[in-house]
Amino acid sequence: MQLSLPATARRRPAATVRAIGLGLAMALITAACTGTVIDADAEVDVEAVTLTLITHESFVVSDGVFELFTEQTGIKVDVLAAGDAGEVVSRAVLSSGDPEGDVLFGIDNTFLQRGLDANLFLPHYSAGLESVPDELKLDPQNRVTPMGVSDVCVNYWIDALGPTPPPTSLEDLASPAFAGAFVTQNPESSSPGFAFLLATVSHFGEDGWEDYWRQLVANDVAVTAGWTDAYYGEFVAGGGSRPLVTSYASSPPAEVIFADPPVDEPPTGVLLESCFRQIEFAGILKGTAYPNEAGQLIDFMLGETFQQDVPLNMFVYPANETVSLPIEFTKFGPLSADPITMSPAQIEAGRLDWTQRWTDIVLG
Amino acid sequence: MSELSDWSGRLSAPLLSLRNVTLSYGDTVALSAVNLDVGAGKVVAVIGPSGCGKSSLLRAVAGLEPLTNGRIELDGQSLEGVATHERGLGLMFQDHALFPHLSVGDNVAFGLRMQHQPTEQRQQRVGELLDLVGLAGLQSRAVHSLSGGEAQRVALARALAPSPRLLMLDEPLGSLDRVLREQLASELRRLFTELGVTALHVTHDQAEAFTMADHIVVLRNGQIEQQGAPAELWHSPTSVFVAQFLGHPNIWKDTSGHVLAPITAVRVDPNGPIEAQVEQVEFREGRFRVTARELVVVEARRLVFDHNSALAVGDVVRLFVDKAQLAALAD
Amino acid sequence: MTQPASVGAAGGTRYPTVAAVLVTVTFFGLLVVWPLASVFQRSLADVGPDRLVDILGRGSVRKALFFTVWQSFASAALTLAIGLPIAHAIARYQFWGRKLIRVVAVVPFVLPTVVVGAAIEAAFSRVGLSLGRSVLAILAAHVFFNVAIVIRVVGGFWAGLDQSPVAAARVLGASPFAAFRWVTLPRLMPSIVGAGVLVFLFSFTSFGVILILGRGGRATLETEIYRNAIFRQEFDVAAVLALVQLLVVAVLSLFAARFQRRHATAQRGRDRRGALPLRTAGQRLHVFGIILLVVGVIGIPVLALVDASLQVGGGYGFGNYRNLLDKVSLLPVSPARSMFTSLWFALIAALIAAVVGLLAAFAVVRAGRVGSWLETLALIPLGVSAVTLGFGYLLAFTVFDLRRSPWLIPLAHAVVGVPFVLASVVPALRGIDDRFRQAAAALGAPPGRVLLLIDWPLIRRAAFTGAGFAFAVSLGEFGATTFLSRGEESFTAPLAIFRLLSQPGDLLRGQALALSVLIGLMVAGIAAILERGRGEEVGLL
Repeated sequence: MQLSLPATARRRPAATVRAIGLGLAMALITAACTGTVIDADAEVDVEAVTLTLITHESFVVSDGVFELFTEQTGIKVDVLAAGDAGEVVSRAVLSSGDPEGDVLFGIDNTFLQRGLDANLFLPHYSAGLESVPDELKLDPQNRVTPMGVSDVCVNYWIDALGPTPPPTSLEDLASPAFAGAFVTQNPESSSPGFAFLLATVSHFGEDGWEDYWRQLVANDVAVTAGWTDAYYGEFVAGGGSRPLVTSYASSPPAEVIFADPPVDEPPTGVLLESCFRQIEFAGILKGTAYPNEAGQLIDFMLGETFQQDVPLNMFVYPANETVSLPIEFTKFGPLSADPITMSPAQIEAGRLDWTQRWTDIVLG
Repeated sequence: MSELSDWSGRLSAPLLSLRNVTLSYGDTVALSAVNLDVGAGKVVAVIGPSGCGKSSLLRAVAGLEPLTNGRIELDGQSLEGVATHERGLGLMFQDHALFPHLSVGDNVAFGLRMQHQPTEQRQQRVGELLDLVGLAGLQSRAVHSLSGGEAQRVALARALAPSPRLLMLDEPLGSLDRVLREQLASELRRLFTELGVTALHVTHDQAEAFTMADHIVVLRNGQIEQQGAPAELWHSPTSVFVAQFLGHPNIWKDTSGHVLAPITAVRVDPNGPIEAQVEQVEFREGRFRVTARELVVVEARRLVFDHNSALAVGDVVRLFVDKAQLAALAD
Repeated sequence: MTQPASVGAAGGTRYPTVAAVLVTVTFFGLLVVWPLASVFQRSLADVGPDRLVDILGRGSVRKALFFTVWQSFASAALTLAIGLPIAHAIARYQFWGRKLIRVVAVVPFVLPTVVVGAAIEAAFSRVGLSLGRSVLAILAAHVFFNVAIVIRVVGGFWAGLDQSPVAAARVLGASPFAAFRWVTLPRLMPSIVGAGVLVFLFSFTSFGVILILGRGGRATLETEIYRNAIFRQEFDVAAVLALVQLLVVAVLSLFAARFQRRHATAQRGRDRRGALPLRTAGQRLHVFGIILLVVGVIGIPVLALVDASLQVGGGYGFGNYRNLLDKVSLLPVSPARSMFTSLWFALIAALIAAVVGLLAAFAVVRAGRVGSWLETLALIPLGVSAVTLGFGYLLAFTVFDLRRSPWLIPLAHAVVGVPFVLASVVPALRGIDDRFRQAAAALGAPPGRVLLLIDWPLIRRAAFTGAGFAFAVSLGEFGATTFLSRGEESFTAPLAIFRLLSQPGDLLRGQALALSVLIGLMVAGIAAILERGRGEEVGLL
């Protein structure tokens, strides 16, 4: 069988393959350079600095808000919103010293101590802090600045309770009247689930919270992995049968704002006695090349324009108390006047032990 | 060969009989009202061009295709409702269809294993059959390493191993070269006679059919065109189609229709009435086969005849045609 | 005379093979090995032998490892058990709905777990089964999500399988089952193992299903890695678990690659009539049963989802779909735009996966032992958790600042898509009778032309199948995307669905359901287009 072929013919496929390989490499390099291209553009204008804001995927601002900041200061903002709040903190800890960005937005009080211990942030005092209630300022050194507040509270579906009056205390949840009525989330995989666990630890104390959970288990509490499968799975809202769920103080306003068709009143109410306070912070990441500009961004985010934008986009309450709230929030979603709290240091110290014991009691 | 011609199927009940067998795939009719008998110990060949329904016939007998109409009997028992694997048949494919993932020995042993024969007995039988087909000792060879002829012999051994009541061969030698084909064909013929195998053999090669069969069936468009003993068929084809298919070269158009002149009916004769010019000369098994064109203006015939000495292309010869041997053909 | 002709060992064609190997190695080296190495280097630096023993000795780790492996095996076995009869029916019979099954089967692939998990639980409770933390729900979900892999990978291969050995076996006394067991199954094994490994790996790294249907009470290596990396921030524990995960995947895929290499057989037969019309009542009944099975496994949850998406304020309508055009305050962009972002990413990812996958397939088939290693390498990303890879990208790509590139998401998606291209193309490539290539070469075709005129037409279908899967994988991908997304321009539909379902309100939920249905339709549309392209062509030939 004669199969010898002209040398040129032989070489052609190799060239093709090589070309494809080259193309791929080019794509990768182009891809790799896109980021730097923006920086190069920025350098043309000596004044222009672009800050990277690292945040979680729930972070949303209205169009024009950061543009206003750029107009005022000449500083551009590049938002890198990825992962949930826990992931954002983990990433920041893993890349500490060589941060992905300049400012981190969205570390809350349940994770705060970690960020402080890992020495992630530079101190910065914003003048705006004067308008922030003192109980939100958890770091005396101002390495982080409070940005938003939310309460994790037990919600109830009003119609589903029937003649039974809504619960008025955490203790009620373990009473026979609410047997098989409550669904909450696994504290290890859900932020509200963890907040609710903290609420019970804080309310019943180190000696009492485990008994309380045993009672909840005896009362047929349901546990889901996350908020969505609790609210839309077991809870009445998504066709489930349980009238009580761990959610937020802002959930009834959301039920009105996102009702379809529109409603005048939310179908849900909040057990204010169960509320655990979550506070979200922003901080300047150590290692940034632009600490001053980053400080300006923090100041801006504590200012009225940004703070006013927070409730409807992220469903948290502004930290700046001079800012007016949307009507749905004031009417249907008041924050608890006397929320359950716990210091970040305490949370960090107890976290692994409590969740382990919780797992043994509830899932074991 | 003379005893072959008295095959009739009337003397004893046929082993296999097809009555009015019809098979269609959707709108395509593969077989239409086919009637056919195969006597025990006989070899019946079904010939026809590709697409005539030969393979469908085998698949129908094997039970691989459900009949649209008609019935098939084996040993006097209707095969309706009898699954392929319960029919006790052997089938040899053109592409031999050896199991690529099994060794030669395991291929041959397959049918025995399906009969749950004990291992020792199986091995012994495999050895015997490989001996029989001339591949002794090749049990552990991988099938992809076999040559075409070897693969075909393995396929034969595999088909014969479970002692099938009826062996079916689907173009069994089609993929082999001519010498090997002829050699294997006579070998098969000898084996079948020796072992008393009843076989239904499908092929498009009439020479192979003539070598191996006791009875030949010509199939055309799913219908039987003609059947009979090989000699009978050769000497008296009833239609142009059959005559052409069997390889008769002299089929002429006459005022009354088509006429067949056997090659022996044409010979060179200096006094012959026909003047023709040689167009082509082929050397064939010691003689020359000559094609010559009649030198007339209207409706010139081509005459083919065998001649003992070489003629040159362009030579003009006088030919004689023995009218007694001419036979009329249906169109 | 029987020297292997142009392809393979012949000197003149070494370069393309080497180039294909290099591209494959570069691609996976850059996008998988390097990031993983960065994670391990960073997280394991301080892990001494004592700490290692301590971590591996933990009851929770051993329990998670055991559960992960057995549920993945069970999921793969169950998916094969349900998928094979379906694959057989669509490979062998022509019937109404055959193409529809192939098209619909891929829809679950892109549906978000949060949406489908509820549908599956509801389906079970409707027949009176309360699932609680039942493993059955997890297995059922894995079957639902992955059955398409078996149907398409095995079904495609099956359709091209030479049928004459089956006929031979039947005539030799094998019952239909025996013929399947002894003749068809062994020849199908390479594709079955290929599909099985993919299902195993998907179940192995399944995250949402385990969490949602396991109610947090079932831990796998994947969920443990997440818990340790995010909630507990014990990065060294997470990294050790990731290493264990990597080890299992590597061993499994090495085994699979070797198995496939050993059992691949070139298809030489001629009986490839593919699917035939139904001719007997038995066949019709059989196919009817298969259709019922498909309706039960895929149809009911999908229809339940469609039904839910059409419910508006107590009635039915398209309100939820119309609302997708408006940006709600929770999202950075409108859901409609997120859909186009997803479509765009998925097209790029499928293209990259197809090109790299084809090159990798040639490398795998032609590069001997190196090929085996490449096959293993390509499977690794499927078995590595999105968290591990996500952290890897974060640590590794600070160098090029690739981290910021909008290309990173489709590239990461393509990494997961390549194994699908391989799984369908490699068996097809191995199944090509080398004599075709020899014949073409003898007729004067240079190697490049042989590739184009012989190999390509014969593997085109398989390549399309693989690219279709890559598209679907990209369209539905959540874990890595959430990690790599950077906001508006990379806000994909799965992210939007997840985000819409993070706040109360029927408006949000309705949009999430409608968006889920639309990405399901999108992948069905692509599958239908690819389906049209293949016409009634028979088998692999």
